[in-house]
Parts: sequence; C-alpha cells; structure tokens
Amino acid sequence: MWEVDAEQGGEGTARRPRRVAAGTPPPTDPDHWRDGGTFQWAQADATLKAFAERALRGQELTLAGDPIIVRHGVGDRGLPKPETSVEVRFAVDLTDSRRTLDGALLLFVEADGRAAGWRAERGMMTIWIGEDPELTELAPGAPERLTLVGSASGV
Amino acid sequence: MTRLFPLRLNDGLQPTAYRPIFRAHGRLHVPDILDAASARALHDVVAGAGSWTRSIHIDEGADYDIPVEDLDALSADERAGFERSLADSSSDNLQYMFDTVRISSELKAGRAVADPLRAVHDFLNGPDFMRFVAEMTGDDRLAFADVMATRYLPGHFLTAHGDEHPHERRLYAYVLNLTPVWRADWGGVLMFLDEDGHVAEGYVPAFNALNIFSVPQTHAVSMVSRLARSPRLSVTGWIHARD
Repeated sequence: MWEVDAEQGGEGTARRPRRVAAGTPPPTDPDHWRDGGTFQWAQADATLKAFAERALRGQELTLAGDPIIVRHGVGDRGLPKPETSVEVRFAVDLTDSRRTLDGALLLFVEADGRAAGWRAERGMMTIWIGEDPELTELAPGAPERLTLVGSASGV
Repeated sequence: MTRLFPLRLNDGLQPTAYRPIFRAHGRLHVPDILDAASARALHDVVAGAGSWTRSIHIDEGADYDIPVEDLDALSADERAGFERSLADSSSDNLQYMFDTVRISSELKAGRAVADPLRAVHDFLNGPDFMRFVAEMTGDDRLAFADVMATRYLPGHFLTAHGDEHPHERRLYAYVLNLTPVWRADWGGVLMFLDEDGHVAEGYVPAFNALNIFSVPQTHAVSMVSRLARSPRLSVTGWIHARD
C-alpha cells in the first residue's frame, strides 16, 4: 500500500497500516447510541469484544481497554480519539460499502499529502501504529458504516 | 486581476530525475511545479474566473453543463428541488459534479475566452511545459494539452473512471492544484483505485503541485466535505498524442 511512497524518494513511513481478514463479525445491534460529534458510538457487547480479542490474537496482539462500535450515517466522518496513549490501534469493518465513492474511507494521510486506504469491507481489520487515519465523510445515498474500533498492545 | 504572465516553471526541478518513478508507477506528484509568483498569479486567475459552468453527468449520455449564474438565480425552493433530484440519483447513477471553465473547448469552438485563461492554455501548450512532460515521461509523442479550470465545492465529486476516450489519443492526465490551503478531512482527494476499489494511492490537494498520470488509470476525486472552507481549485486536462 505504501510502496510508491518509498520509491518516490521520500523517507517512507513508520506507521505502515496492516489490513487482514478478521473473520465474520457477529451481528450487533446496540440499543444505546451516544453522540460523538461527527459520528455516533456505542459500547461493544461481550460477543463482539471476544471476536476482537480472537482477531487480535491472530496478529499477536492483545486487546487493550474496551472496543467501541462507531456508526457513520450520511455526512458523518472521523474516528473517536483513543482514551489513553496507546501503541496500536485497530478498526474492524462491520459493514460493507459498495464503491469508493460511498465515502467513509479509512484514509491514511502522510505529511506530504499522499494518502492510501480502504473502503469498508465487512470482516476486514486494519491495524496501525501512531496517529489515527481519516475516516472520510459518508456520501449521500450510501449505506451507513459500522466499525469496531479499539486499542491493542503487543503480546 | 494579478498580471504576472508569462507563467514560468520552477527552474529548480529536474524532470528527467522523475522519469524512473513515473515509468514504474505511471503517476507522479510534483510539488512546486511553477515558480512562486506564477503559482499565485494562476491561482488569482482561476479563483477570479467569472464564467463557471456546473458540469453534471447522470448516466450515459446525460451530461449537463449549467451556467452557475443560472443556478444562483434559482429560488430557494427551486434550488432545493434541483439538489433533491441530484441526491436521489447520487446513489448509483450520478457520475460527477463540479464546476468548470472549459478553456480549450471554448477556444476550439471559436468562442471568446478571457485573456488570462487563454494565457494558461498557451502556457500548458507551450514549449516549456511540453518539454518538461516529455522529459519526465520520456515520451516524444506529445502533441497538445487540453485545458479546463475546475472548482469543487462541498458535495462535488468525480466517480471512478479511467479517462480513456475512443476518439481521442489521451496519453496523460494532469491536475495542477491551486488551492492555497487544504485539509485532508475536507475530501477532494485524487484517488487511484486498485481492482477492489480500495485507495492504492491518493493525493490531497496541495498548492502548486502537479499530479500527472498515464491514461488509462482508474481514479476518482472524493466528495468535498461540508467542512471545506474554500473551493478546490485546479487546472486540469489531458495531454494528447500526435495523430
């Protein structure tokens, strides 16, 4: 994903995101959404938390703290800030997008303005170190996006 | 209107140094393509252009170029109805929406083009820019560039496409960014997509940067957010081969 960055002559990046298949996430239907400003969020239930733990274990990571579900509707954007300073962050797509232009892309932007990222694909987990990526605005007509977001540490 | 023409390239750039990268990836982001005074002058020309047209493409063959002044003259109800009709079609059919001044098309049709915009066209078709691109790409087939100014306002976008055209010999597409200040979370990112529709690489608009890429190559411009505090301005077009 970042090969061009290095080959264009820059220093490359210290925070190369990883994208891995996490398996099929369990269904979730939180009954209490909270306002995050530019998105809504809810606590992940025990089943989803266990799913995150399993997925992270496969990457030799352990869950740190409680993951949350973030919901983006039309016009929503952004990710919640981590509660504490953490080394590793992750996001699991709980819904699918149909095409890039639906927006709600997980977009990693370098200081020089070059970017790379992914549209939502249910069951895919993105892992990164350092500053959170942009989650771009969800476009009109696009289905809502649900994402499991949390922090992790090395085993 | 600032008068600083003729426009000049940044003479510190070495186009042949970019060639291996361009050949390897088929695209390139070149910061500071113009000298600083030229970039400021070009920005002033594009920002001050008074003849914007809203270009909208809905389905194959359904292209609309509507003078922005006509849209501005709509009543609030009429405007709401128009925007609602676009939103209704945006899920699958609407392919692009942004404002343009089609400089080359106007010149080709023999219509009047303001002198500063004509100067932009002449610069991009002049020996300095053409030589720069030829040296950067290593391609000696370059014939001419067509040129349009574009303005993306909140809600504007360009869906994924490859730029190929059956009746034109497009070699390269270019975007010369002219927005002085831009933030990644304002959208408007030129995105190159992989076969799964993910963003293999994207370029956030940067003032006085040239993005150039070979055609065909699947790309899109992400929707400009309501957060954007200024329009996304650029001069863009294709560089064509000789017949």
